[in-house]
Amino acid sequence: MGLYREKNPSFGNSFSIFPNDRKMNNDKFLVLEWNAHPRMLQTCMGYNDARVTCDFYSNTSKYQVEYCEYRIVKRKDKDGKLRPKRIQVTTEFKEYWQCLAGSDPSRIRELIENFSGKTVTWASIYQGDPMEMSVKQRRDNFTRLITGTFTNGGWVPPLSYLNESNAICMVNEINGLSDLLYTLMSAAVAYIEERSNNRQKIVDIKNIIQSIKTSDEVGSEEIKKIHSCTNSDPTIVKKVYDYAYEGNVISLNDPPGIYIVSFNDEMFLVNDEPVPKEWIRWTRGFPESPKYPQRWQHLEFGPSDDDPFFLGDISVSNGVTEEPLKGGYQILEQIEVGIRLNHFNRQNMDELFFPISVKQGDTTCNDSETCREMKQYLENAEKYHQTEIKELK
Amino acid sequence: MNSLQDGIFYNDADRPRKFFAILFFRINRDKNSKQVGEFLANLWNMYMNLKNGRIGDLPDHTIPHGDSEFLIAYGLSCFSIRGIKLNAPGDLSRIGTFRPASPGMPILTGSGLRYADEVSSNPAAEDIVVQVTSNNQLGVYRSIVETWKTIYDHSTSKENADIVSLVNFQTGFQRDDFRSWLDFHDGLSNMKSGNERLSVIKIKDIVDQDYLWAENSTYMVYLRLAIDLEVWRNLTRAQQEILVGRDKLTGCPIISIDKEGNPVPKEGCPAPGSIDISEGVENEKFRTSGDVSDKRLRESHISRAHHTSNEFAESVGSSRIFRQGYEFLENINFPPFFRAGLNFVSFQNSPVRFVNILTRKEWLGRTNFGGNPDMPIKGSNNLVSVLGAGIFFVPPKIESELFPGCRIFL
Repeated sequence: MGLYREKNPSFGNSFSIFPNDRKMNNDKFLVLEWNAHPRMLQTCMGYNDARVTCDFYSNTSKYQVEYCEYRIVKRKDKDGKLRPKRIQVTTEFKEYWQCLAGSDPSRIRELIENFSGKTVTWASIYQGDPMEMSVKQRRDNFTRLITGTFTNGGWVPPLSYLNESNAICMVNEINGLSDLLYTLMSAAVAYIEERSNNRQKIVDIKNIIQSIKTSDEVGSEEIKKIHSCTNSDPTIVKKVYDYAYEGNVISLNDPPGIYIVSFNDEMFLVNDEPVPKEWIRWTRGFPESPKYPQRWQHLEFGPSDDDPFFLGDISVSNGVTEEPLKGGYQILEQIEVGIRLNHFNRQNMDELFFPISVKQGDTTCNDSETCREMKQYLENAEKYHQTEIKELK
Repeated sequence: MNSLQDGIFYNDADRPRKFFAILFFRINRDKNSKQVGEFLANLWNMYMNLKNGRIGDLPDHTIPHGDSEFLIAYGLSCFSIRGIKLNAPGDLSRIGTFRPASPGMPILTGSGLRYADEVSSNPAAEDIVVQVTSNNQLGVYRSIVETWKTIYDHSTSKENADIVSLVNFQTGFQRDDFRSWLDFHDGLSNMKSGNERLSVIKIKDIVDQDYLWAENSTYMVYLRLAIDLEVWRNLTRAQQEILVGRDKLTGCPIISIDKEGNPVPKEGCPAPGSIDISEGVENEKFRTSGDVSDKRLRESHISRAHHTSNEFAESVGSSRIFRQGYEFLENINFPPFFRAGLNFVSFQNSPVRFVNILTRKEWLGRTNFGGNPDMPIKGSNNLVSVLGAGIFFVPPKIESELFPGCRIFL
């Protein structure tokens, strides 16, 4: 990011990664939040097909693109049939886990064993004994097995089952820390319409995004990777741009991360009563305090292994009627995730307005190539995995 | 041409009419959709004549029309009549009603809004509604009487008798002071007039093949809310301000609470030269709650009802809705012999937006109006009660059709 700023001085002038860079008050923050369920999937397919598709492909996080991912943990019932037992949700960045894997293998192993409920070998995490590896080797092996990585050929998903069957960290290629930082950087600029004399603000969020993505002035392809058909990116861009235009510097609140801001657990019932509190287990974060809301990054929802209930015994209310809980998509619908940002107001904005050519943004999200691909994936699943799809429906 | 129906005033240039009525119709289940459709065509024709200042009993004579607007919408139950041509649209079939009425019970699972103690059946859970708005009171009252005349005249033959009945109506009025019966500012939206509001109202990205024609449709939510002014009067001004999240006089958002427990309004508000936030564009930025860190203020009504943490209005997850409410004051036969309240009307492209607001813990979930539902400020968990509640599909206005939603019946 530092190198980027050298080439493009106007960029990131309204953004710094940590509040201490600009001596901001960490206790004065604003919260940005958005729905965790994938917006484009539902826009393309409608609720029922979106739910089935997302749940069927949940182990690879294929369509979970709102900086929040889930896995369905399955166990055998008394008849020996493998059934969904509980859901694990995570908002942790893979980058954090990759760093931790390099420096503290014991802690990594302890965390994974906590999530999975089973003993885990070094081989399944590091492809060998990490004590005999360098920090870089540990990180590289862990990345290949657990988080997935970009290579010259593109995105390579994780090779191990561990992050498929438990939500260790986010693995979808666009749910990364760099994606968040680039979105913040691209939004934290006081864009103005280049032909206006009075520093005209760009009002429509779709136009802001389209203008950034098609701008010759912006230049970098990384900066332009804003996804306009998600819940997350437009929410972030709109708020951060508004703040930058008004002369604020923005930074991530310390500690930085995506957090589960709220979970509407009261919509989930078993035998017409709210689910037991012990079925809702929060880890990796901070509980609610009298002054501040909760900040958790891991949620495990559902009965434990020694509890006879399964996920299907739980129903979820839409406010009026109840339907059986089939998978994690219905959990995501009741979750809001978000980030905290610090800000302070500069007085002098004169040098910071950035003229940009304003382009009209697209308003539809359901007729693109991605929608067709999503529908094709569901058709393939229906054709080759009929039993599983039938159970999800 | 296909457009949003009249009576949804999302453009500042088109001011909401001053008076309101909502009429509730019930379909006779012995009749079929063709009979209902033919009656509705007749009814709609009457409304369009009223809009142009004409009534059947005074041919060739024009009456003042009061700039009346008419909107027709359909409840989930409408789609079960014999011979209906279309299934209910997706979101209506998923969330098409509130919970059945029961005294003191929530209208939705997870909501702190409950039916009033005297409500054992929901007067708003009907098949069809018509919203009338007009700039004079006669305009709305006349439409009610003309509706009865149309039903009466249509029922002259045995075959056409009792196809649809007018079973209930409610009326209301707009205030000109931008306040509610609580004396606080209300209804000041920061959503930009025009496209931003339209992105919340209009159904788009239609997946259901049967409803590809329904671009420019929307959903209407209606609640008739009673306000217990005695509960409100027993709160101090400071308690009221913390609960609402605004200064009582100026409407300025409360941004902190000092050590003595006094609410502190935002500095610089209202804009110089104005007495409150309803005046002028300079005060627009003060109409939302602002970004508050204090948990007590995050629980205020305006913070709960509108999260400034998500202002991407187009996303259902933002839970933004377009409100267009009308106050009421009605006579009752027990002390204090009047009841004050609000005809809450909202338009949104999915009822999920509204359900989220009422059921999510960070929004108004479990709270009646605001505050902490586990430690409510005295009596505030009974401030508002529901006299009636309904969700309705509002099809677009299509010039070639006899009435909006015609193809559902004919």
